[in-house]
Amino acid sequence: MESSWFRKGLDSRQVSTEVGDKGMSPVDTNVVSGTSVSINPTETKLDLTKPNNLNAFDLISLSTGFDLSGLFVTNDQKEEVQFTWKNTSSAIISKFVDIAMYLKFKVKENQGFMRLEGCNAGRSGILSIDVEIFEISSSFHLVEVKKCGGDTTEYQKMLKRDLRPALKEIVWAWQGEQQHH
Amino acid sequence: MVQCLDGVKHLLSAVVNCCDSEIYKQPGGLENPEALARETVFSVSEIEALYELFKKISSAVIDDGLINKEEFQLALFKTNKKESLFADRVFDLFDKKHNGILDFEEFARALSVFHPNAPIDDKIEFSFQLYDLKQQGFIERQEVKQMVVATLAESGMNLSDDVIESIIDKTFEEADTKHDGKIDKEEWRNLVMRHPSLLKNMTLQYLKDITTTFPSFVFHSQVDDT
Repeated sequence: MESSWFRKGLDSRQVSTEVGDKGMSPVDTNVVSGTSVSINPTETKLDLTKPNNLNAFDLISLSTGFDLSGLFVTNDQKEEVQFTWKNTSSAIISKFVDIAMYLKFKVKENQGFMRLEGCNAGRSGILSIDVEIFEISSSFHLVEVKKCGGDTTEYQKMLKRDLRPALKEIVWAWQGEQQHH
Repeated sequence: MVQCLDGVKHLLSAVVNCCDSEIYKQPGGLENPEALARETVFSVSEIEALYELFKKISSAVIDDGLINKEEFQLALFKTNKKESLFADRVFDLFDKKHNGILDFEEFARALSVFHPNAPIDDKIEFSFQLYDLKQQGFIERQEVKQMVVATLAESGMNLSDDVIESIIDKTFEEADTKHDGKIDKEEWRNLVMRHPSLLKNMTLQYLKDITTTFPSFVFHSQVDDT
């Protein structure tokens, strides 16, 4: 399920260095940044055009009304969560890096796409989650978090216990949930 | 494709008498799942499992073996308070008979398109019709704008009109290769082939596991699933 929209080329290179400079102290061997891993080789090819190559239909497909998975699972059980974020993509990335460090997860980051990997193998292997950042405007982003490997229950727990509280203050809105603004 | 389905449906009704919705009102009264299985990508046991889901949804407000719009919204959003342009569109497309309610056949046939194994052409067709709000056979700029605005409102995002216009400009620049201000079926198909992610809502992985999520207690199931 390929999902690379407009990978705002503009920030991504910049972001890599920022991340490299900020949280990544030499001692911290848990965090890896940069283009060491091309997680989805095809993704990089797609980001060929100028920045802001945003497709209106991608935006529309975010609508929860179009997402029939609600027929099968509640929001809590969905493997993908999305939220909007009123900040720059580099701010989001560093936030996730912070969270990863706190959870002792490994982080790989590549052009607005991050993978966080746990260290302890759970029942179904190591828990890993993918985080993808989509730009709507330079200070407004949509972030999609989805489970990539490992146990679903563990993933749900992690979302509830760690991720949501950590992001609480800065998330603008969680997709699919009642808005409180 | 749609006409083809309609044609088959008429044939089926003649054979199975299934236009009589009484059949689905009976408890456990799913007659002839094989026929539906033949006409969809579902196996017989998947049809049976789907029927369990259908029963659950259709009894939420009025227990009549049919899904009305309120029950549909309830199933989708877990609240019937949520009005959604998109849910309305989806419901309308499911409702092939245009009588404001969904019977099991309509439900199963429509969901078949969302199965991971369904032909991509069906998905392309369905999504095109979904976005063609006025059902004129093409997607107009104004319709796209309406949907973008509705999506943003739903998520509590607000973008300036300028930004929205520029997003739509770029979309049309890419999609509207005939430069006539609208996106026709062929242009839609080309766009989607270039951006497969646009069809991601057209596939529900959950449909693959439906027999485990909704076990059917039909003991005399005539299943020979291959």
